[in-house]
Amino acid sequence: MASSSLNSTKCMKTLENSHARARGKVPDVSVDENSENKVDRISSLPDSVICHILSFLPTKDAAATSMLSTKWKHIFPLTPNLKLEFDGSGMRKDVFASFVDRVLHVYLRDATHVHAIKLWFRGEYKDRLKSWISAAVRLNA
Amino acid sequence: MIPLPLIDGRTLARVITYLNKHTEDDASDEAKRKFDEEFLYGMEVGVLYDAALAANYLDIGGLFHEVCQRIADGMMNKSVEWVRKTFHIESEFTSEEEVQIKKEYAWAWEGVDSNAD
Repeated sequence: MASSSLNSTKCMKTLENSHARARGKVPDVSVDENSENKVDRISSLPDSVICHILSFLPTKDAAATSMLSTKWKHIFPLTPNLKLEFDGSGMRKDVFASFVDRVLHVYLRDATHVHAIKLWFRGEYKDRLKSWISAAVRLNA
Repeated sequence: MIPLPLIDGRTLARVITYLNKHTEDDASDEAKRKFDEEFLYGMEVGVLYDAALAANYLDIGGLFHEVCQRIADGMMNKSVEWVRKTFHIESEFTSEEEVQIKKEYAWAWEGVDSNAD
């Protein structure tokens, strides 16, 4: 079984934190239900701040924000630190591998802004792994 | 005197509380982590936005990191509908655009469990 990570200790910690958060071990943010405060303030934050918030989300959640509104559609592609984590829960390995293929080879094919890519995956996908690493190198990540 | 026109007094007081804790000589990393948890977990989301903007403006990396993480916590593993409702985000997509973008980002959800509401 091949395992690969760009920075194994950091990735493990990120994955553990994501797991803890995904399992609901972190309290939800509290939202003031006062009608005066039902204003969309998050969309008014500077793009750089929103990008930083998205960098803490697993890729699927970050990508899903593109569906929120016309403003958010344009934010996800700007995130410079991409996290591609296979956490095993509810996601088959082959589906995740196809997902990574599309992100790296199709969606980010001509991207120039990607600073870093964290990829955490274990599986027998030697050739695919090679193509993912080549894509990361091509993106200057 | 240094004017800070972009930060209100209450937010600045919170920033100072954070900085005081994080610059204490005898505070352990564990104590700081516990402080951050209690400090941030009680904050209503509007306060978090103000803190994020202030930390970004004042270039306080640690606080900016923690606040953004906390806001991200509120969106993690939640459906698009839940996030829109909770954060009061108006979609503004036409129904055709919504269909199109769902198709474009279908790869983000294929084989993944639907997010909890």
